[in-house]
Amino acid sequence: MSPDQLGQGWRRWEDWWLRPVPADLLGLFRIVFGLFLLLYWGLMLPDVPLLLSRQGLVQHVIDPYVPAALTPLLAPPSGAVAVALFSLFLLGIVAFTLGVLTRWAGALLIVFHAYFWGVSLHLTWFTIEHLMPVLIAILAFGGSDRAFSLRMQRRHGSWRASEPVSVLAQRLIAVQICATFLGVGWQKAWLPDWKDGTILHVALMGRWATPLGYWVAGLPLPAWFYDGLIVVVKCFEVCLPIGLWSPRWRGWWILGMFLFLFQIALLLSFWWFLILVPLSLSFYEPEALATRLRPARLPRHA
Amino acid sequence: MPRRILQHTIILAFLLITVSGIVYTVFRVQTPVPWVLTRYSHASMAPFQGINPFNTDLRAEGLSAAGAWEPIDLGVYLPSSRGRRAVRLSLLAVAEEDKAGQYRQLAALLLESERTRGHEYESIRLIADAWPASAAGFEARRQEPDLISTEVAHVP
Repeated sequence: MSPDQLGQGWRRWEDWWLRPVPADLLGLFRIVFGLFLLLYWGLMLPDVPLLLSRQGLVQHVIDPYVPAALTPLLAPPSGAVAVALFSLFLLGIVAFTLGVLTRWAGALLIVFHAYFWGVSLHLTWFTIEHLMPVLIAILAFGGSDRAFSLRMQRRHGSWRASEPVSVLAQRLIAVQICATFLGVGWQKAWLPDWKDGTILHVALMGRWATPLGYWVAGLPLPAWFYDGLIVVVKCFEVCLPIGLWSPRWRGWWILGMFLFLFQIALLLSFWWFLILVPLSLSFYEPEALATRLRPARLPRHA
Repeated sequence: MPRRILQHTIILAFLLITVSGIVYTVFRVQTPVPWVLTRYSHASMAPFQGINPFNTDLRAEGLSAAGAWEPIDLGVYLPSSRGRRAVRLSLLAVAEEDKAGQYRQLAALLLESERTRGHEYESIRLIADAWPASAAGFEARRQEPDLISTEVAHVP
């Protein structure tokens, strides 16, 4: 490869990962993801004393990777303290969503998330709760408050004002979503549990299944139906992380993702993965979407 | 220039950790990337683990002064979601070799909590129930002869 080709390759790499783009899509992501966080954690508020304090059965289980110096801090607090801390956590989500003191709010959310994780939530090991701090960090420190935010209201007199940001944050979100579906999908090609449709049938009768899931499980469907369905699921999940990068077919893959995750929410109560659908707009080139999000007359600032 | 260096460092680190997570998730092979980072990345891409043809639950019983074992309602201590409750009680995130100790700790905690609530039990035992899943309902087959009950902790 010649030096010119190397130089050209490097410039393409830098352009793809780091070029300045309108912050509109990132701002939208911040709002949508912030509202999702409010819903997810807000639903947990009534259970906070049971999940995060001495009022519940919260053992002082220490993850082996937590530094020993931090273990005293992770003893379950009283119910009142847990509720107070959790309320502060929710306020942090509000600030993040509104785009005010976004970096501080993001840092606070990550610290709180780590604290709640250390006290109790690591016992449940939910994938979405692992994704949250990553997405919060990307959005909080990636310039998502440079559009559709109170920060823009203060700086430019309009919350709809926008400043350019690096495309890096959007690319990281896209790579993370791709990796999540890649891991979820490709492991199914190997794991023995997923060799036939039994696991699908069993999942519809498990601890997460909804009444609709149980109803479907009770239908007189033959084994080959579930076996065929598992082939469809595996093909879809293996191809999805690749299809999302296709400019021509991306929209169809996102629609497929929505239908797939929607039926999972209906049958298995995992509604939280639906947040990946709007975040999948990160696979689009930001300039193309920015012109759709914002008519020409609305202010954008250099 | 420092900003550019930071950005490229972030890109490289993110890609390395993510690829390490994918390699472990798909092939169960550990890379040279620190395990704590690989494990975190793996956990962000591996839902739907632990699907089982058997449904499980944990129940607790307290030994009263009269010498009878009485059932204890764990619902007052645990979240309302059946899924979250079941995952917490099955200690899914705890290594197998550590579960016995954690269940004993849980039983001791329950004994203390019940005494605080006025139930002066002399002893607490935790029993793990397992039964075949059924389309008739989560607990439809949670009875003899399908029910398998195993005592996992007994304190003191």
